[in-house]
Amino acid sequence: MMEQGESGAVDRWPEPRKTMDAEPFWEGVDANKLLYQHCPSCSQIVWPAHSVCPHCDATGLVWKESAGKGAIYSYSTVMRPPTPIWNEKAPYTVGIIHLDEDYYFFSEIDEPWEEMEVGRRVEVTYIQRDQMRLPVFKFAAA
Amino acid sequence: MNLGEVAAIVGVGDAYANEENRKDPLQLATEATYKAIKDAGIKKQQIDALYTGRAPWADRRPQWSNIFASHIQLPVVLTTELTMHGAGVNIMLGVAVQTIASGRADYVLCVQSDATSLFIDTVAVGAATDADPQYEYPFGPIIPALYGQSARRYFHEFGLTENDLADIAVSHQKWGAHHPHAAKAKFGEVDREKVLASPYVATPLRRWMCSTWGGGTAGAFVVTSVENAKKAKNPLYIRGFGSATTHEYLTERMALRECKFPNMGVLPNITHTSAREASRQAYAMADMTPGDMDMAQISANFAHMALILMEDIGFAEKGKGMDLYREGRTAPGGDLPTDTNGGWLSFGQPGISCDMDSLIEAARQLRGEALGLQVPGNPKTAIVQGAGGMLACNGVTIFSTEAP
Repeated sequence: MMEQGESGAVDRWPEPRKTMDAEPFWEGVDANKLLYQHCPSCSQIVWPAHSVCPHCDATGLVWKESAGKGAIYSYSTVMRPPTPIWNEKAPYTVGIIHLDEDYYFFSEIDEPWEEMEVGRRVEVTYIQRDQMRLPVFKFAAA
Repeated sequence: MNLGEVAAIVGVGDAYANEENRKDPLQLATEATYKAIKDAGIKKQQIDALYTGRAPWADRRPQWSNIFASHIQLPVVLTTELTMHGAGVNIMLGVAVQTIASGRADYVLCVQSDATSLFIDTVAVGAATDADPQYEYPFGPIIPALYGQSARRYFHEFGLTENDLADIAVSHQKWGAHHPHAAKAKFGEVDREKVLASPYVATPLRRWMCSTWGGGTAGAFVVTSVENAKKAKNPLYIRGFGSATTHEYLTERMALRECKFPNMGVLPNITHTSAREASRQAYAMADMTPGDMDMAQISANFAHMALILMEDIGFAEKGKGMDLYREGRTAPGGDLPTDTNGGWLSFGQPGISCDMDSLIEAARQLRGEALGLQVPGNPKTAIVQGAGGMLACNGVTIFSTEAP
């Protein structure tokens, strides 16, 4: 990952800097599943991935699968991309999705930027970008 | 012991650079430091501790504070960078007070400089953002697109529109047009139409609603005990300070469903910040209220942040910050002059020293030595709020020409 202020010699799609806590999440993405954690001790959802429940300090977090459906909580369309590799894609929209399981997930909403609305229903899908698979969201069928 | 009765700024120094007059962060910091030392009427060797914020983007070496202490040949007992992102620049003043209160230092130097656009590919800086490197960075956000999430939520929760953000930019530019070092000074005053005609950077933020890269700046303060300050001309008493952080990345902030800091709104949200808690501490220490402030210098890098922050530091109820701008209270001639150098929106972003620019502006205004428009009526007390990271960290410092 580029540090602030470094000009990359090679312009590549940025890859996620994966943490060990999140390994099951990325394995899930590779299998077209959107996984999140749950704490059996306090019954709260845990996202992003942790080793210890940030709400009640318990260990023993378990992984569950989201139905991948939710609503747009916030969004912003990028008009001036960070590096040239994004130029063909621009404008593209990044936002926070409120999944129906009641947690919040940052992703791309791959739809026309003029049609974005807070509250609009969306569904997850998966894209392959070089070696990387990513969950992105599309508008739900009416 | 009340930490608001311990220390004062007795020396102030600043320095500026641009494309026609280039200086690097070491030169800028050196120039500001020697001005401050001379202003304080002390010898360099009297400084016991040296604090900086995090290393400038234009010179990102770790151990920046030790590098600078060595550069000016100043052995000290204590030196460190205060981080909490760029808010460390504001927070270091309070830490200087604590150091003096503990007896570990008699004089403390607080200094910060940067000159990002003069030395660094600023597009590359924008690429490696304060985005979560695992959960956000792969989707290609730029900093305005992360802050844009908060702007969209503010519109949604409080019914504001782009017209309002435009009016905030207009207000900032009323000050910025008159400051000799403001990055946007060359454009003169603007109107709502001009702001709304500028292209989107990341929706809903148009170019005029965003800060721009400035040249280079530096600021330095010599801080000492109130006792020593009796000998100084123009001391600025540090009457209160506070700090708080709630998170690092937006994704983590959206997981924050409970917070021990009061008045953070219904969580999760991205329309309330830790400036609320930082200012609560500062007011309590100073035994003052927002009504006692003669001016505010805040860290609004995007137009909507002016609303969120003015609300969080107590000048309006949440969702009502726009009234301050609509009523002209924050503009020249208003009763709550805010961001009197144009703020980050119009003065520009030199890099990490943006939080220092706010502090220097407050200091100059209180001393009657403003470089741009001077707030009339002999202002005595200023609140300076500094932020860092993705709506993450905040420092607030209140200083006054009146002794505690």
